[in-house]
Amino acid sequence: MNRRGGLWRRFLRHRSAAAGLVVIAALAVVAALAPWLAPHPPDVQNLPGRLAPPGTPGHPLGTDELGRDILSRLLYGARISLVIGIIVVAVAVGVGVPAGALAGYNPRYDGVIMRAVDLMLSFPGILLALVIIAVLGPGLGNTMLAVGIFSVPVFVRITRASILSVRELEYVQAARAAGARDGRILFRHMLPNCLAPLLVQATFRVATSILTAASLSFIGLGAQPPTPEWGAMLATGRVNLYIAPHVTLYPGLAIFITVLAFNLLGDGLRDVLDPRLRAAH
Amino acid sequence: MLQYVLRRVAHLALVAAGVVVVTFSMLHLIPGDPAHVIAGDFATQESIEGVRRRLGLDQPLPVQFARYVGRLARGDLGASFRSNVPVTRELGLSYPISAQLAVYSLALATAVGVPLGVVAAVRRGTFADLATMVVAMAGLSIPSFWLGLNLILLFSVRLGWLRSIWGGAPADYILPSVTLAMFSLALIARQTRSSMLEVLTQDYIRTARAKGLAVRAVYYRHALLNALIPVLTVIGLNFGYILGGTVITESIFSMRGMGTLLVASILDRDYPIVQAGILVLALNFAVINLLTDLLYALIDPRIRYE
Repeated sequence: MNRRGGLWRRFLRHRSAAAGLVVIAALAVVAALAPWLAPHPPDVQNLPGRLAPPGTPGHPLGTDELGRDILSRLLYGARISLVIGIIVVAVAVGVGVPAGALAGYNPRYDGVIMRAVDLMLSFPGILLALVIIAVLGPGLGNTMLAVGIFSVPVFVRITRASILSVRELEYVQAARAAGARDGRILFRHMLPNCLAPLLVQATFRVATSILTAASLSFIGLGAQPPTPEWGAMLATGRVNLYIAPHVTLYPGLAIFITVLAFNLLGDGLRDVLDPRLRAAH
Repeated sequence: MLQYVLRRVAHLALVAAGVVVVTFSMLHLIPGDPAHVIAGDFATQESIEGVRRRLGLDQPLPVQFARYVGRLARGDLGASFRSNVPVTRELGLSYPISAQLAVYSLALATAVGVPLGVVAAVRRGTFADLATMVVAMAGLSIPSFWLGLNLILLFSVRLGWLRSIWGGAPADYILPSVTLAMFSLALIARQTRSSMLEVLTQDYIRTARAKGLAVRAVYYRHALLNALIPVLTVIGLNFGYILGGTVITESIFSMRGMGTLLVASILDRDYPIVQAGILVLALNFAVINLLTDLLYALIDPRIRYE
């Protein structure tokens, strides 16, 4: 408890990380309260009032090419982006952590699992996600699944490395000597000691996933119009880039701030949780 | 060293085989009947049968795979469903564009990222350090497509320095390369800074200082070279990110590279192009990985024995 209190205090002293957490909390509140905060429904069109500039009465951030209120769409978009981040990381952790734990714990499965990871990593960058979307078809759901699978290798590797580093420690042997079964040793004794690097990576991965999913929506493979997803809003707004740059300005800014907040939080968590790295920074 | 090279080449062959299997499987992994999907929602039974025969989907799976590999070995990547143009011709036009974009971006990210990281580490705790790290954090978080659109607004629309319409001229690569380089630049700067800081705490650096070497010589001759090894890893990894990132960047600037071709083909369900495009990009990545690994082994003899 004392140690935990110390961590929390150290975290709060890490100003950029605390700032990231505050922004994320604010985004979560905005996302939850979007229907009450938004001045207009996100899909209501008003063609005579299209491409109204920011500051127009009733439309503080202006309107888009169909006269929809940009602020309202941004608020609803916060929901989508946060859900994307959470679901993607849940998929990646749900597949990657058990696979990595198994690979690290039992050499019999290590070869198969790591070759599968190698294969996934042989597709450069976002390309693995593109392969999956090419097979499943475009759309927000498939994009979340694709980005989730795309993120699996990171979690396999980190979990495996952590498990390997504790496998020969005395407390694991003690648990085994006391007659604990493999599953219990792995999930009750070993994994909890590997949580710190996983938590740090999961935080970074939320940022990466929001960015990747928004990119896929921007090129037309992710969320489809009229969904108020930020990347998709940018994609439809770019047509009027020269005459109405505000339509692309705000969704981009929203993605930037959200991703920045998760990256700052991840940096801070790493500094606080990983004493080995702290010396270097 | 020879043994190491052979092992790496064998690994490359393994990766290539895996990629071929994955691209082959793509058609067969489509939910439902691929012939039906490709023929479209309103296809008659006859046209579905036609598609099935044309693609050889009526053959047993091992036969299909053998044919696929046989065609690949002859350099025959099939023809586009949509235009019936050979895929090799489509790729031949778009590949040089993407390759140039990727190389310029990686060069830019390295040429700017490494010096920034060194300056930040050497002047640790100063304003220069703080400013570099703030910029790097922003570079990691900014959506590339938003950055690209803003660059167009600034340099093409406001200042009128560069045109925003893609024409394939050398100057047309400037904004796309900056856009694509930003994320990797930030990662490289951060990695350079932290590995430089780590090296600077080593005993041999203290020894070098103690024996009276000039600070500059210590930093740049003793510290930087050792600090660069982990940076090389990050640069190698970033080549993958950049190859994948060409897809987004090309879309922003309407460049007719492989990324644009790939996205259009995914939306059109033009599978021969999708398969071939992914195959080519993945094989490029595998070769680059091999080359970077060999480069490490040359620079750092410890790596060969791992």
